[in-house]
Amino acid sequence: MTSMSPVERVLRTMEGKPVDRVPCFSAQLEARQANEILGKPSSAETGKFEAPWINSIERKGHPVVEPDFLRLALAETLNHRNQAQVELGFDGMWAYYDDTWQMPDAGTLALTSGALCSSIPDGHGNMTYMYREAGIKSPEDFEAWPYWPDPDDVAHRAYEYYKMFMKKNGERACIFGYGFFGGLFESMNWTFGIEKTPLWIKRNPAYVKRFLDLLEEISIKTHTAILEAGAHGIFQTDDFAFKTGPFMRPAMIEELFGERYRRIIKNVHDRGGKYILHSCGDNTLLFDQFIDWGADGCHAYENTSNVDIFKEKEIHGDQVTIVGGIGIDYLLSERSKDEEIVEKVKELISKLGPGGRFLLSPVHSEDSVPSAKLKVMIDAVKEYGAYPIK
Amino acid sequence: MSKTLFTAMSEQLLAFNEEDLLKVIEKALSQGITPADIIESGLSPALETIGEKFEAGEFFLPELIFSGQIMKNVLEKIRPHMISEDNKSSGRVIMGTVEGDIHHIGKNIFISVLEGDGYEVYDLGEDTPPATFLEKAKELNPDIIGMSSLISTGVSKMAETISLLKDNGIKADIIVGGAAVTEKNATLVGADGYAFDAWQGLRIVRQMSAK
Repeated sequence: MTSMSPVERVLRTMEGKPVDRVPCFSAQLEARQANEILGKPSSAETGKFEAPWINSIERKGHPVVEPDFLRLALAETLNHRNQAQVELGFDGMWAYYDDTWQMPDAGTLALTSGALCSSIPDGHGNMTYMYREAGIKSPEDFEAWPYWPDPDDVAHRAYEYYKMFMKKNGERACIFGYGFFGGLFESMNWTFGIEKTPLWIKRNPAYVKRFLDLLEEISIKTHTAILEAGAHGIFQTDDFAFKTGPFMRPAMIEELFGERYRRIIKNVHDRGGKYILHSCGDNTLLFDQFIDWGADGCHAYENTSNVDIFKEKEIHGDQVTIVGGIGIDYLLSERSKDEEIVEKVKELISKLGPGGRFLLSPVHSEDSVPSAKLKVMIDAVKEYGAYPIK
Repeated sequence: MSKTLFTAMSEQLLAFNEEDLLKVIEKALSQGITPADIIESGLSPALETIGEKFEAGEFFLPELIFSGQIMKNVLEKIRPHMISEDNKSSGRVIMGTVEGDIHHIGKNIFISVLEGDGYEVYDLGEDTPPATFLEKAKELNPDIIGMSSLISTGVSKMAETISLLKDNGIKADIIVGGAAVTEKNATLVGADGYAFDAWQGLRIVRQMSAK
């Protein structure tokens, strides 16, 4: 078979059509890998953090960052990471862009949807974030939250970014955009607190509805903007499970999120895009639902959870594209040997490649992953992934 | 009559209907039913059922949280009616995420389940140094000490903390849990118990406090 473009390879794979080889997909990179790939020094080496506004704040001696300044820094940071995925040679990628984050003080990053994160060093000379706590602990907090986003404004900014990014990279990789952090369920957990979310559902259903209405509107409007800017699909993150199974009864998930996700995904399909849903943990009990909602692909099939990626290929392999398979706990860490990565790639290709609908990918992005290990993975897919699978 | 009220309590707790449950409990108290009987005959059977359904995969995290929160409020409601003999907690527990780990979600879920079962829980928070565990253990004399960690480096910190506690003569049973912990490494670090999830943790804590 003649060699295909990365876009054709990924899209045809997701439709179960013949392709030249198994595609390799990236589920984001962190600052460490982006610096390594683009040949840029870490923020510490340049004498400034990756989030340069932090030094600026300290110099100015006041705790609140001007939104425009923060927005520019976020745009630069995220574009840097997206571009690095293209340069490393992935066929498809999750290109995340969200410049709506806020910085209420020098140590805190706030999601406009109501969660507070700590700004912390990543151990490699850059800054990253770590979820800290719910930003909304009461109905009064909900009413007083100062950062609720304007969906039209978020969508407009997403359009501007993806227009630029697609013009530069749209033929080099199959681009799955995402313009606002967090899916509906995950955002509820972050905003209200995972141990409090069930109580909000029980005691404050009107607030939960308002919250989900807002998230659904943002999803639909940003996805529309991203696809109109030329992206090939949407990669949305929503962690419905932990390592042993779903957070909630599948019936409860269906009741709260089913129709909303059907509308979100239909909107993507109506605009000709593909839709991949990322959900951490063991989603074995939920895959039927994700497929029923319309997902074209599911990521991540975490190797450290109880999910069995090979069994999923048998059960759902002709209905949905499996995206994932390579763990970051060992294989993509400093500790692994290159030949171990190659062997795992060969195993995944031989078991999941036949019939298509498989994008080989890391299960996560993480600061500890050296970009050299990702390159070993990509090279192995290119060497051993050609159809027919041997 | 009591039997009907106990059945109603169980039904309301299993339906996670806090408002109606509190009404039934008020009625029972007004009829002279003791708090101990309310807990033993009205609420405990429902809690057992919730635990069984959780283990069977019929109930999930929200149901554990609902029931824990409801039980906490119920216990607050009936505490003033308890005579001194009734008015004691199921046991005293101190809980913390070990040093170097700032994760709190698993710990907080476990605390809410323990409080719902009548335990007096002292939360030491996250990133808790071994010396703080020791200081609080000496100050509060707990029956049980719980440690949580999501990250693998937390396991060696558990070993260090447990060693410090035992070297200093702390007799409390120690239970560990969290995503980084397995039954095998719980034994290796010297813990007396390991919990895979919050409900299993409650069962182990009950066994420990019954000794």
